[in-house]
Amino acid sequence: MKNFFKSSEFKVIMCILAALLAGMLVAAFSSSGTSPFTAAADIIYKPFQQAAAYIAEKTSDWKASFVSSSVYKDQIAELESEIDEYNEALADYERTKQKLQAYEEFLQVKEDNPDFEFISASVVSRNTSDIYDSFTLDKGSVNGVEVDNPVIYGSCVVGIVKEVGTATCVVKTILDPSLNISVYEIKSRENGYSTTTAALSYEGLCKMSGLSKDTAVAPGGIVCTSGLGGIFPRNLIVGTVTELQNETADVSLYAVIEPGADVNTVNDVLIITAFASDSEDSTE
Amino acid sequence: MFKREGFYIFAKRILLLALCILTAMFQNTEGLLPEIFGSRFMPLIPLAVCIGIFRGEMSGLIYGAIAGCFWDVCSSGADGIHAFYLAFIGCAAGVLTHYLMRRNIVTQYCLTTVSCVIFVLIYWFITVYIPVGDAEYKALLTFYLPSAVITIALSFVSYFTVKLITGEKRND
Repeated sequence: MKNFFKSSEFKVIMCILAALLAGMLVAAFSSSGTSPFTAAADIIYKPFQQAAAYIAEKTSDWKASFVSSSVYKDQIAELESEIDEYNEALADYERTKQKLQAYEEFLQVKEDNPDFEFISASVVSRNTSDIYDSFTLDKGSVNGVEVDNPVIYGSCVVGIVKEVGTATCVVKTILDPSLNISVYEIKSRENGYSTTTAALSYEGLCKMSGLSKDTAVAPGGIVCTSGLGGIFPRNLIVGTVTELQNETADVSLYAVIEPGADVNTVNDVLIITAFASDSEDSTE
Repeated sequence: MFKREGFYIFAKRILLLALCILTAMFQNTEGLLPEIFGSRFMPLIPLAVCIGIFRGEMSGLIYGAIAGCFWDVCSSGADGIHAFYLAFIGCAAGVLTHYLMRRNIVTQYCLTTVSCVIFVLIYWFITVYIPVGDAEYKALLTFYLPSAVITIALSFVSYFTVKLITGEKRND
């Protein structure tokens, strides 16, 4: 073995090892980080590497058939439970988003009308026998609710409290012909009163009656409460004028109003228990 | 006859090269070899050892270097380290088998065991222990040891300078 270390073969081996070491140093200091030997091997090895990756990809499904079905069952059960969790979270998110939207509108109303005193309430049931869409809220006399308290959604009128129980109250909506509200149209400043008919109520519409033949009210106009009567505060939105029609009973006109709030779909509303303006009672 | 012998030698070399490529493919492609409890098979190490055992130190060195280069292509560590290591163990296996050990499977197992253990310990030490460990070990690896290597590599300058000054001849 001593002769081996003195032989020329040993010297060649040392030279080759030194060359490999030098390649490592070149790789360490070069910008590419590769030694020249690795770069040369990469050219030869690359097609084989691609072929191997292709074979591995194609055989991956074949290997899956050797996995026990109980493993897949457990994975499926876990994924289904994850999906249920995500669906719950998504539903919760949607509910929270809707509440947030409602609260933002209510906040705007409060900022615009700092004298209002509110109670927030949720619809707990709808009267299926009532064609005028009255509904029940989850607040009652214990919460300070009284008969004739206005009910709003955002800044839009929804109706008025008709009956009050201890913990619930029934709301008469603006689609009820027996509810009349003193209103005015913003652009023309013309006064009138908001009511409806059975035919218009069926279509979800109201009307602003008492307009003269030469009224300046036009489609697109916004109708708001005038505050006269003292039941509804001033400047709550009733709806938008869609068209003008002739009254059947006399020569006056009336404006068909599309309500600002859809009374059939509202779930969270505000009951105004007190406000600053003081007027005569409204007519019913 | 010489032509046929030459053809067989050439064919053996091509086959060994193809074996190196094939083994590198199996080792470096995920999914081709099973991973038992997350452990991976490194067939290039026993391949370099076996080529050194059966073909001698020079073949072990060259084919080990080639196999190591194929390993370096796919590794993210220091480039060239696998080529150097497999060349070294291929050559060492050839030398030990030629002068000290017999050419059998027991020898193969002994040499492969030692090669694998040394490889994984060095790799673990450099890639896991040092980066996570204390700063003192990092200073050893990044400053003191490289300083020693450079000193050793350039020590021939002192040798020839002093020899020139003193005029002394080499004592064999």
